[in-house]
Amino acid sequence: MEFVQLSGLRGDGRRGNEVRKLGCHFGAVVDCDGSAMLDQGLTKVLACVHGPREVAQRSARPGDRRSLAVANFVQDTFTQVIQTELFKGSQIDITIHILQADGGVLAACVNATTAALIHAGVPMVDFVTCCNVGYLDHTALLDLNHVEELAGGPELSLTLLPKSGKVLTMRMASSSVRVTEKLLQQLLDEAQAGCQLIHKVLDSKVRELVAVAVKKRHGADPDAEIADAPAYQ
Amino acid sequence: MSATVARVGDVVVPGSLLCVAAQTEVAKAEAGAGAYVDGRGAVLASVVGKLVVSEPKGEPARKIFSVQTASRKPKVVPVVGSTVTCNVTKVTPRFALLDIVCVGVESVPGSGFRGMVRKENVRSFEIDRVEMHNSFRPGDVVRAKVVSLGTARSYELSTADKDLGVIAAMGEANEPLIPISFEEMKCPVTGVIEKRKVAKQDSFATLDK
Repeated sequence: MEFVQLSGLRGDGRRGNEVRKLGCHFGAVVDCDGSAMLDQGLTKVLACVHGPREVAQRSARPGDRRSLAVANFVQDTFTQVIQTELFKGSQIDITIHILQADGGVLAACVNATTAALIHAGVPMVDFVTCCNVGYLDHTALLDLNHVEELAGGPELSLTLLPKSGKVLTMRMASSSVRVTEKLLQQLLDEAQAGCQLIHKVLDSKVRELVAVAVKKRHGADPDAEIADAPAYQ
Repeated sequence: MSATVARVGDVVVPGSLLCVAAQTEVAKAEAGAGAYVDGRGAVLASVVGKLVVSEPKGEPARKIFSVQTASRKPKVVPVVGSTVTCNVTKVTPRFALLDIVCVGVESVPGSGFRGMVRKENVRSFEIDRVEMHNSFRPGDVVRAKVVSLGTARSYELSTADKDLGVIAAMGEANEPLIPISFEEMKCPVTGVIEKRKVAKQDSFATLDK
């Protein structure tokens, strides 16, 4: 199967270095402290944040291995970014629902969680964005969709703190191709560039959210105080 | 990497640069609510909101960078040393269990934070003579201090100070009791005296009359 046509376009019309359209809707769920519905192409993920709240013994973990791997990845990532030292003796629950899976589920889960945590007002050191990158037809492809993931080439998911450029966590799998050091370096660079692209979009979505909240409360006056404004919704 | 420094009134997001380290030599920059200082001494935002810079009175060289958020309630959790207001839910011979309803002046209703006052933390003197049932009853409102984060189930609280202890209680006649001493409360209707570990009031004497 051909993943990159002669014209340099992929099956869904993107170039190798383009990510899919990213949409983000804050406050999709009312019954929690913060939530975000994020769609990256046809992948759709809903993240809800509860807390910081009291420590409950029960902590629902997914039963199957694939979901557990995603949960562990998200947990590893966010325990490094959330300023947990401010909330000793309490817990923050992150619930993620994968509504549609069309590749890049892990990345979408991380990005949705970032958005939900920001919506909840949980203090974080920086934004976190995640992007995956694959290598098919001798080309590095950003933000693989389901068909491209199934091809079995190398796939690298990487989370980045876009402002400081720090890499937090990454996961790589390759079922059919051997990855050389040189290729790995290329994939790492591509993935970081992808994270920066996603950061740009997510950043503007968050700023929109604040602008809406301010406008809702204070009409047209953008300089008004927002200290006790209601929830961003 | 964005190296632009946010100005006062700007909308900032987590990781936004509020003040670079170099500026701290001119004026002492500090991080307030919603901000933190990173390893290089720069002040960065940790939540979404508007940048506010305040100067404490009389210290023009100090600048506090904080982020005003639009969230519905401040994230408040008890920490060691905070004064909490609680409802007593259970009293056993060794300890009392309480539901924390206020942390400092912020109310946290329905938060589910729980606390425990052990027998040895009820008062600071004659701690071997403490009787839990003569100190607290279920339903009492108690002011206490957090001494440690305790277990995952509950915070470790203490009432071993004269202004800590029961601040409001209902008697057996279902009437609010009036404190008459540091260990007694009186029912205004029946005159029955009940024992409690009472928090210091402005004046016991005036209430007694």
